Amino acid sequence: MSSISLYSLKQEAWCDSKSVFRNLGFVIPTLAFPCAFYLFFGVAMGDEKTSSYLLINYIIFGVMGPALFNFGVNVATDREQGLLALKQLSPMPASQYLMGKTFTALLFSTLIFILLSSFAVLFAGVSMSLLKWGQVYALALLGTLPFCMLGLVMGLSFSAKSAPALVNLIYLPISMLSGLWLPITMFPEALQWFAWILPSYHLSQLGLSILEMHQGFNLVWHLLGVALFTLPCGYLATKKYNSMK
Amino acid sequence: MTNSAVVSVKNLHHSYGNKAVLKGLDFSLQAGRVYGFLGANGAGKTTLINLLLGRLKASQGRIEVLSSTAGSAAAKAKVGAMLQIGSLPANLTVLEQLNLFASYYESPMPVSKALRLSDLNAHENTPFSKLSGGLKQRLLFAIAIIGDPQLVFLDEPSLAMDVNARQQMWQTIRQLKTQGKTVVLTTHYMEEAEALSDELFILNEGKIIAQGSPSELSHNMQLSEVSFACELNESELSTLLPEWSWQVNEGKAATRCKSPNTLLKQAFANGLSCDLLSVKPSSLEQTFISLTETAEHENKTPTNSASDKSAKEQAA
Repeated sequence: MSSISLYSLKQEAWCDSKSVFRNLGFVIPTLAFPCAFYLFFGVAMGDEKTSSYLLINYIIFGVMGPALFNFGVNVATDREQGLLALKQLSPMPASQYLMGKTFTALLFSTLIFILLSSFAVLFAGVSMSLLKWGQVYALALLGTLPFCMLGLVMGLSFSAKSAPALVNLIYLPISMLSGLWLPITMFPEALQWFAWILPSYHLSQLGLSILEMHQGFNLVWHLLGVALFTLPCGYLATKKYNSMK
Repeated sequence: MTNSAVVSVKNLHHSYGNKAVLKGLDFSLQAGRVYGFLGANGAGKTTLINLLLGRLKASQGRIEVLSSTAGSAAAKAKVGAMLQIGSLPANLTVLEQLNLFASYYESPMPVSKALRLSDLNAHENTPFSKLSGGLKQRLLFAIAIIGDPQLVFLDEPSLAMDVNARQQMWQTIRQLKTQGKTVVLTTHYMEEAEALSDELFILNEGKIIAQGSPSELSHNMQLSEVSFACELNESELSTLLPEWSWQVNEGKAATRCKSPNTLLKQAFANGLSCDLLSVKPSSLEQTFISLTETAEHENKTPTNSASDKSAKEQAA
């Protein structure tokens, strides 16, 4: 792999972010969806405990969307339109393109974290130590990565036309089955075990552990759960990208 | 083959599965020249370009681009390409896209120069989605040269351009040549190939069937189109003048031949009056058509008509 110049990486990240953020038809729904859900279920309908519990879960739900879409749909589009081919002809290493897209997804995660946390503090009276806020933000950033990888595998596998529908087909059921909308303990036992293969379940448990609201499994299992999903996806995506030419 | 060859291709074969697409190509390209690759759809042009760019791996044979393996990091740094592309990011401006691509290279061309060479100065702040078809082509051209490459591949460069823009593009391509850059052009516009290329390669069914400068190609072929008024039908005329293959339509006989003098001498000797006689040199386009037609014809039913013979001499 040839070396990446910092200047070029900055260009890549800014260009990808500008390109995505100028598309208000994408930005507004992506941000509004988790905000509206949180304000309705987490702020208007619950007590402070529910508000804190759902804050974690809607942050996870919120960071999944842009990561899945910017990779799943936009990579499929770049590939089909030939932009990816043009970039592959340049000396730019593949990882730079992916880092640029990851940067955009992390920007979205930051915005989601700021928006939902503000609602939680201002309207629901949620309070926690600065350290805990820091941990929640770190979780939001970490939680972006598995979905970048999953999105990437999808973007490299499906056509630009089918990618949006397929991303939705994965996004919403995964959120539901990970217990992001309803507490996982309300599910039948078989479904609770099924959630173990979903990174969003593990992220949710990690987040809830900050507030001591998790199910109580050793956190190592949850970290392992995230890693065991992210790494194979990353491997598969790299393989697909390299064989694409 | 000299050491200064920018591209050297030896015994290149390529097949997709069982289907052979390129069947033994040998050529080398020198610095500071424009090369045109012509061929009907399916002749193997796109496959060849993709191999030269390193987007495909050759089934057999050797390709060297600027003394490196095609598609290696070293080659990529010195090669630029203009591909037929659906779209660049729709809401990034011309300037933003060029700055981004310039950042990929260690010593790129200044963005202002690329803008000037592709005549995009007036549009630098226009987002891609607002550019006309011709302007989009110019941006793709600018991206192809932004790395200040030694070798530039241009695929249908003046597609969707009006006459003025096309002239401008030709001017720029000639400018690249005077700077010592090698340009490889694939195009469907025969006029463009003729105007720009120092050397033409005509590909047919995976083989180079003719190679030379545009004037050489038409000259060596020496194909002239001869036609005159004639009351005989095709078979009568063919018995009278059996060396040529005739087409008779509504009292007008026509053929293509290498030496119109011989033909006319025999025609007069046979008592034809040849009223409304017309003799004109075959254009490059017609040369191309007759070359590829003949090659196809030969592949199917080997015959020995006069025009076939002349094309065969040429292909050899």
